[in-house]
Parts: sequence; structure tokens; C-alpha cells
Amino acid sequence: MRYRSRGYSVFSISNTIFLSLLSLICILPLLHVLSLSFSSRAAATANIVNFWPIGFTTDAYVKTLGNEMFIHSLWIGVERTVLGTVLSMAVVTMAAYSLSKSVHKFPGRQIYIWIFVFTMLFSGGLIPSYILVSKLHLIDTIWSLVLPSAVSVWNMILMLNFFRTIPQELEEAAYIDGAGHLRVLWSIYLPVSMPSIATLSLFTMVFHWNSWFDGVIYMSNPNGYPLATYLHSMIVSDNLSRVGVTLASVDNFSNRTVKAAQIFIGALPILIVYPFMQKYFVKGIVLGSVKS
Amino acid sequence: MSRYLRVARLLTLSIAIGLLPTLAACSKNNNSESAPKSSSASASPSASESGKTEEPTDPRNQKFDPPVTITTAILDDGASRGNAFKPGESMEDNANIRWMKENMGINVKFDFIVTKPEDYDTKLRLLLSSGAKLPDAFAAGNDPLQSLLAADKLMPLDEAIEKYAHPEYKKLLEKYSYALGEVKKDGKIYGLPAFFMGDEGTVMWIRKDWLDTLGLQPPKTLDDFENVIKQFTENDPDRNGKNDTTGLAVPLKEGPWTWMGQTDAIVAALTDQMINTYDVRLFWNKGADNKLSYGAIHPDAKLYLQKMRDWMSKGYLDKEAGIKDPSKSSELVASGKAGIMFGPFWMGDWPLGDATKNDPKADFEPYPLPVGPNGLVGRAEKPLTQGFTVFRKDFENIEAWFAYFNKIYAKKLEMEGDPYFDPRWKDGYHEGYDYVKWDGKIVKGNYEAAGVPADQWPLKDGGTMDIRYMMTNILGNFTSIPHSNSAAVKKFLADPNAEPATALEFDIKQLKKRQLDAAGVRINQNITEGKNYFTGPMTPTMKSKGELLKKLATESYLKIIYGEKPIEYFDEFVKQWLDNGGQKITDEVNEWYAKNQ
Amino acid sequence: MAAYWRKTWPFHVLLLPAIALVIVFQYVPLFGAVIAFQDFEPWLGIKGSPWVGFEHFRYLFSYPDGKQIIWNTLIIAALKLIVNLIIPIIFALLLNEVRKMAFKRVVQTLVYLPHFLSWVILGGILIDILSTEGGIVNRALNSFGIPSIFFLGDGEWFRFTVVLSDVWKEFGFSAIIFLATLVGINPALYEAAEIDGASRWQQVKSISVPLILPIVIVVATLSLGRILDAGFDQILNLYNPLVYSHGDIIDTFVYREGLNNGQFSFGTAIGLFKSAIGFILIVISYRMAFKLANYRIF
Repeated sequence: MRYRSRGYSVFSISNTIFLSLLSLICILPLLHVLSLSFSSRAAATANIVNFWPIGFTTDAYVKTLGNEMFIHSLWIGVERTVLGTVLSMAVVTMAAYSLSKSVHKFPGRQIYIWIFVFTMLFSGGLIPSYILVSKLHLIDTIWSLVLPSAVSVWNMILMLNFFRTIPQELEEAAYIDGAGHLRVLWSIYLPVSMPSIATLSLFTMVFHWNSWFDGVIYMSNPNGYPLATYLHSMIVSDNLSRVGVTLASVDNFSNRTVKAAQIFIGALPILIVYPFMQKYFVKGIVLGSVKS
Repeated sequence: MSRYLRVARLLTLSIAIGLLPTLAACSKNNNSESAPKSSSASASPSASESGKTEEPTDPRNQKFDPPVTITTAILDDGASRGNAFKPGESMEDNANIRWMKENMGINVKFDFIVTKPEDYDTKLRLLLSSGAKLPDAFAAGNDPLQSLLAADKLMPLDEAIEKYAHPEYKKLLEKYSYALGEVKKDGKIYGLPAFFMGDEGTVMWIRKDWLDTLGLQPPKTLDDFENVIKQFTENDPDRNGKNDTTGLAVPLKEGPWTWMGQTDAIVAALTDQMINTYDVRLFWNKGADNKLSYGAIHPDAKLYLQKMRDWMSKGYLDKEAGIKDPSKSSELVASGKAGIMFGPFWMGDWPLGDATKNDPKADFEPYPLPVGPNGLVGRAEKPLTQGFTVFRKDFENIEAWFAYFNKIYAKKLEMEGDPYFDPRWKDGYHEGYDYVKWDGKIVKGNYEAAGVPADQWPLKDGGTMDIRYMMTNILGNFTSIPHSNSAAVKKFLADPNAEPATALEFDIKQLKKRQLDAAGVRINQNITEGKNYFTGPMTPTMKSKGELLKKLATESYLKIIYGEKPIEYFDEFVKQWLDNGGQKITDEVNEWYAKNQ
Repeated sequence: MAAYWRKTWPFHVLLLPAIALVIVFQYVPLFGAVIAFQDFEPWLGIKGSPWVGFEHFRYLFSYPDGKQIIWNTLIIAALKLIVNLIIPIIFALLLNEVRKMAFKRVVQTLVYLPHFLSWVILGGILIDILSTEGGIVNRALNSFGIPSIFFLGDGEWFRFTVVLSDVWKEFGFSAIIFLATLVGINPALYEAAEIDGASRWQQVKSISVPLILPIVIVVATLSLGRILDAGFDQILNLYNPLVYSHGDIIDTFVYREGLNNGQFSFGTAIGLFKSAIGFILIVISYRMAFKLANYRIF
């Protein structure tokens, strides 16, 4: 086997080393944040924490987990992500199925596609969107966070490209058996496309998990903020701004360690999702080999 | 808006409400001498003077029947505020809201609550754009404020102030009327200012242990100062055998003037000009001809640039100063890599107190500012106001608003015989929140140590509550009384163990020793702070060219300091500055000044 | 016509939810884009604000720094577009060669982490590791006898730093799409090539690369739409007066202008300009792909 050739082993070993180094470089920033979250305030102020906590303490976590607002927004973040992803994937998948058909099979697809692509680039902007959402009485509801962004054209285009690679014979056989389009989509397209669906679901989840600006705009009270919005307001506001409160509790100034803890806990759910999704990638291979 | 101002705006609320008594971590005898005596005639409520048909109401016990509802909006920075509410309570539902409802007949409703200053302005603009009703009373500043004024959406306040405001507050407004430029239109006042305490003037923080190690004296002159930063840079003051120390930690990303690490002291030792490059509204200095001119383009600025350039080339300044903001820069002092940093008195705790925690030897002490070759010494004054509380034009219940405001203001003054002082707030605001009565004493913190049983602690963990957020609600911005804490600082400098008599003194007593020392250093050095003479709204050219000029000035300054451009480049910069709108702004500023002097 | 509907109605029905959402949430607010041609004032509303025509566009181009800012944007965005495409592809191909599933998964997960840290955090970390005073990168350079480089304070190096750090943050995430495509390739193809005696390198060249090419082209085309997005968050957190001349981009410029004036109109106008350029580029590349390769990208 070629895999065992000498050249290939050399490549294999250097490849492994290279990828390990690359992973190391990528994990360092998160490791830094993690170490910071377990360090003392003084060490954080001096920025002497590298990749191991200095003055180990779990105070930051006690504070973070005892913070009602954090926990509440974490929950809204999860809710929004789940609802948003399910909705978006359903809408996008159905549309992508139709659009994956050639012009011959589906005359008129070109009109649709350009209607979608146009919105990828042009948008009305903040004010009209806000006016619309408030006219629809969606302000302060979770729908204001999931409906406006439900149609991801980017995902739709990737999806339709994935669908196109599905062998024609598969669906034609199904049509002959009398299956309709919905049935073909459900029982042929979806199972074969698990890797791509997993991928695009991941993109959608990440998008929802990280979106913060719509929370600011559409929620009139921080009680409705999803986690990303909450975190953004924590992290971006300069910690120095608080030092003006000279006569108040000093513990709340310069709470870099608490911020670090919040960043870490905030990233955790979405970080866990990926390894979990990877099993669908493998499944895809199996199905892929079956199909021909 | 410059970063500094953004921060400053947040500070407004924080500092302003910082005056309210909160964290006094000690107990005080119940028989307080600050209880009001209603005998004083000097401060009778003006409502009784002006209103012919009105009954003279007792301002202490004003209750509105039928109840009124006041809508507002607020910036609730959840990140910094710590424990502002008990579990289950919130900005919208808490002890004070209920108290106001029951005792004053005032219902408070929030149209929106945000967590960041930028978001506040965005929300306000969105609200306006969608044609929604404005809140009744709310904070506004800068551009939104000017929009509201231009749109004629706000209520002129002269009459209401005259009729309802606390007499002491009227005096305060008169005293600082020069700072109201932004809310004056056609001779009327449209907003109540949020004053800073004005106590954040620069002091010089130096590693005393390094001075001692190197056998140096604290620098009295700018030449001494230069020698100290030279020695700190070159002579291994931390004795670790490595050449890894710097003289001065200074953030230059935002120009010479910022909120910490600023170099106004160096500027002021060389010239009587005040210099900032990061905001075209600061600093406009008054010349001998009674005209205003922009400090950053004054020829004297070259003296400053020359000095900084020289120090930068010799390595006395942090070489990366140009890419650092104040908080990044402070890491150098907190980690023991730099020996001097300028800044406000509060630095004694954060970040400099942290330096000591990391290295017990690290001893940052505050010192008076150095004197320049011509005997000049000084610092710049942080603008006294930031933001205003404004009222919707058709707001009908301004009397109710002032009833609440006066109560808070009287509590802050704690003036003897004040008829506005509510005796129900004698010991604190709300029992079980900011204070607890135990064993005949008022306990305001350290409940466990004071022997208060756990079931009576305001919070389960025995911590202190920061009640200011609860109290601020309809006030929008809340004002400090500028420079009102000097006496308290002096009192505790003289006797650190003195008994605090007022809420303000309670707070001052909570300062860390270094902070108190630094506040004393600033007060005792007794120098006139360089004022910004332009306090008006942004001029049209400032709006259109301000950002360009800010970029040009900050960039040019840094290029000269870093030696990328020769010092002569300054003249070219000045020409560009004037040509690109600077001249026009200067004219507009002077036009304003001539009118509003 | 009736025949057309009879044949295609299921397609239209499946498209209905997406089209409805897009019309309500994208097309209805589009009327608001007219404020690009107004001097919009919130209290006057869209109906009442004065019209100024192309004034805001003119402002950008006649701005003293305007050309510089556009040039900075273009060069940084173009470099990012290219590098952010090539590196993830190479990475995906290399990772695809790894046989040990566990190792593959671990690497894949780890490289994806930086995507989840915001630039505020990464900016602070970058200042530290790139410091000329003991930062790890410069220490490494020094040990090879190379003098320290002021990465964030030197214009030319600044652009380089921006592009490289962006790749560092994003390549793991960008690679996901290519990895997903690679695992979808039918293993039988490789087996057949193996039997024909093709080396692993030849297999990569003649199977993996051609099969991910369509996705690469799609991604590249769609990225072209963002040719004037040079990365607002990143630049905002990394730039400073020393590198304004090389690092100030359209978005940071609009941001600064907006902070002073709350100028919705100006921001909208610039946004419109950026979108128009992006749209034109997408249309051109779509046409080219169709003409040259007879391939519809979407």
C-alpha cells in the first residue's frame, strides 16, 4: 500500500507534528483566559498570568455562577440558539432543495436565487429594521432574535451546492416508486447530506450564539439579553470606567478575572457542540460509501 | 465621541451617585447629630413663596394623590455595580420603587434599560425615529441632547427650578452656570447638569522603594524628574540584574490627556497651555487677548513634544506607549516594570495597590507635581459636567420629580435645619438594604463583625449592598457637588480615626490610606487647574471635521514623539490642522465665547 | 402556464417560507436605505428628513484621508480574502491525511477555539505576545539574531500582523466547510486510484482537490461580496495613531464619524457603497464561472 511508502511515513510524521504545533498555537489564548479566570485580581491587573493561574482562586466562578443576570442570559442564549437553528435550518433546507434543481427542471429558480442573493448584500439598516420589528410587536420577544436572521442565504447556497452532488439516480429511482418531492427531500436528501447539514447547523448555532447587537436593539431591558449581548456589554466596557466609583466596593473594579470566567463559561456550551457534531461527519462517510 | 468621553459619561453616573452613602463598613451611634432641626428660616421651600394658590406643602412629606407616574430610561451597568439589588429584586421592582409609590405617590416606569453608554444613545435615537413617546425624565448628553434641543422636544426648566428646586441646588447652578453651555437655548436652561466631583486631578505616583534603593529624592523639578526616570530606566532599580525597567508608564494611544497616566503635569511644567489631541472640544485656552485658542497647536506644545521625544529616544518612556490605552499601560506599574505613572488619587488602590499585592516591596506613593524650568507647575481640570437630565416637553409632573430630587439632594447635603431633609432617611435610605439596626446601633457594613445575626443581613453572604442604583431611577444623571469632599479629606488626613459625621465622611473614611494621601497631596499642592474655556455644544465644523482633526493631531504628536518626523514637522501639522477646518472651528469657538463669556 | 405550475408547484411551496421571511424582514426595511440620500434626523423620521442626494458619498471621496482609507481597506481585505481561503484549504487537506480519528478530532476542535474569543480579548493578548519588550515572538526572532519588530506600531508590519492574526483566529473555523466536503467524498474513488497505482499525492491532486473545488469557488465568490470589509472589530482593537496611515479602514472611519454625530445617513450611504461594489463583483464572478466552466455557482 502506498500509505506505507517511506516518503509517506515521513510526511505523516511531519504532518502530525505540524498539526500538533498548530493546535497548540490555537489553544493558547483560551488557556490564557482560563488561567486568568482562576487567578487573583492583583495578578490580573499586572497581567503576569500566562498559561497557569497565579494566586489560585475560584472567586470569579463563585461570582459568575451566583450572578442572576449571567445565568438568566445564558438560558436565553441557549433558547435563542436552539429555536433559531431549528427554524433557520428548516427554512433553508426546504428552499435549498428547490434551488438545487437545474433551470430545466425548475424554470424560475433564477428569479428566486437573485432575490435571495440581493439580500445578502443590501439591507435597510438599523432604523427601518427596528421600526418594522416594533410595528410587528416583536420587541422584547425571542422572535425578534430569530425571525429577521432566519434565512441565511450563505447557508442556502452552500446547501444547494451540497444537494447538487447527490447522484441523480438515487432520486429518480424514488420518483419512479411514486415518491413526492417532500418525501425525496426527507428520506433521501437529508440522510445523505448529514455532514453538510451538521456543518451548516453548526454555523447557524455559532451565529446565534455569538450575535449580540440585535439583543441590544430589540430588547428594552437587559433581562431579555441573550448571553452574547450580556457578555459584550461586560467585556467591551472598559474596566477603568468603573474606577470612577472611587468610594464604592473595589472588588467590582477591574474584575478581569470575573470577565475571564464569564468568557470561558460563555464559550463552553458552543465548544462542546462541535466535538459532538463530528460524529455526524463520520456517519456521512458510511452513508456515502453505501450510496454507490 | 472620543473614548475618553465615552468613559467619562459612564463615570458621570458612577461618580455622581458615588456620593451617596453606601459602603460605610462601620457602625455609628444612633443618636446622630445630623438630624434636621426645622427651625432654620433661611432655607424655606420656595414652593410656598411663589405659588399664590398653592398650600405651603411640607417638602419632607410630599405625597401625590392621585399618584403620578414618571417614565424614565436608565443606564444600568450590570458589570460594575456589584450587589445593587437583592435576589428577586431589580431596577424595575425594588424597595425604593415601592417606597416611592407608598410614601410619595410616585410610580416609576422604565421605557428602556441598557448596560452601555453607546447603547443608551442608540436606543434614544431609535425611540425618536420610530415616533415613540420620549421618557418623562432621562439623561442625555452630546449629540442626542443637541438633537433633542434642535427638535424642540425638551422642557425649559427655569420656571420649574425657581418654583421647586432645593435652594442650595439653585445656588449650585448659579455658581457653575458657565458649565451649562450645552443646555442653554434662547436664554433658557433645558437640562440639569451632572457635575463631577472634580477631585480627579493628576498626582504623581512613584515607587518610593525604588527611590530609596537608588538613593534618590522625590523629584521637585522637571529636571529632577528627568533624572529619576533616567535612573529608573538605567540603574536596575528592582535589583534583579536585568535591564527590564522603564521610568514612566504612559499611555499615548489617546494623546497627552486621558483618564489615567495622562501627561498634563509635564505639559503644565513647560507652558501655561493645556493640551489634548483626542477631542476637538478640549482644551481651549484663553489668551492674553481674551480669545480662545486650541492648546495642541500652540507653539509651546513644541516644548512638550521635544521633551517627550527626547525621553522616548532615551528609553525613559515605555517604548510601546503609542499602542497602549491607560489600562494596558497600567499593567507596567502593576507588574513592577515601571516606576512612575501620573493619574488620579484613586489609583492608590487599583491598579497601584495591586502592585503591592504582587510584590510586597512595591510601594507607590503620591507626590506633588514637578515644577518646570520657569517655575511653572499645574494640571488640567477634567470638565466639570458630563451629561444632563432633561425632561419631555409635555411632562406634567415635574413637581413630583423635584420632590424626589430634593429629598436625595438634602440627604446628600445633610445640612442642619434643612426642611427638605427627610427624617425617615436619617440613618440611611432603606433599613435592611443599606443599613441595619442592631443593638441600638446603625450598622452599614461588616455585619458579621458587628454581631448582626445572619438573618438580618441585607445579603445572604453578609456583603454590603450598593444602593445607589436603586436610588437613581428617575434622576437620570445625578449630580455631585464639585469639590465638596475636600474638607472631609482634610479631616481624615489629620486624624485617620475621627468619627465620620455625615454620609460623605463615611465614604471618605473608606478610602485606602494611599488614596487618602493622594487626595491630600492634590489638595495641598493647591495649584489652579487649567480649565477648558469652551463648554458649548459642538460647533458645526467640529461635527464635520472633528474626527479628522483628532486623528491628525494624535498621529502627528506620536510621530514626532517617536522620532518618525522631525520636531519641525509640528509647524506643518499646525498648518494642516488650521487648513482642514481648524481655523473655522477656532472662529466658531470664539464666536461662541464672545456671546457666552 | 398551468402546466408550468403543475410541474413546479412543490418547488414554490418549499420556497414559500424563505421568500416570505426575506420579503418581510429584508425587503420591507429596504425602503429605509433611502436615508443614504438624506440628512436623516431621528425626530424628523424618514419622511421628514431633508434630501441631500449624493452628498454622503461625495464626503467619503473628498475626505482628505478618503483615498488612503479606501486603499487600506482594499489591500487588507484582499489579502485576507486570499489567505483566509488558501490556509484553511491546505489545513483541511493536511488534516484529511491524518488516519487516527482521535487525533483528527482533537486537532479539529482545538483549532476552532480562537474563533470564539472576541477581538477585545485577542487584541490584549496580541499586544503582549508581539511586545518589543520581551514578547514571545520578538524573543524568538532575537534568538535567530533578528532585531525586534514593532508589529503593531509599524505601518507595513501592521497590515501583515492584521492579516496573519485574522487567519490565526479564523482558519480552524473556515476549514470546517472544506473538511465536511472532504469527508463526503466517496472512499471508493480513492480505493480505485490506489489500485491504479496512484501515489497519495496524486490522489490528493486528482481526487480531493477537484472535488472540493466547486465549494472553494462558491466560498471565494461569496467572499468577494465582502471585498470592502477589512474586519472592523479587529482593526478597532488593534490600530493606534502610529499606524493610522496603514491601518485606518472604511468601517473604523465610519464608526468614528458616527460616534460624534450619530450619523445614520453617512453609515447607511457607505454601507450601500460597499454593498454595491460587492454585488457587482459577485455578479461578475457568477457570470464568469457560468461562461467559462458552464457552472452555476448558485
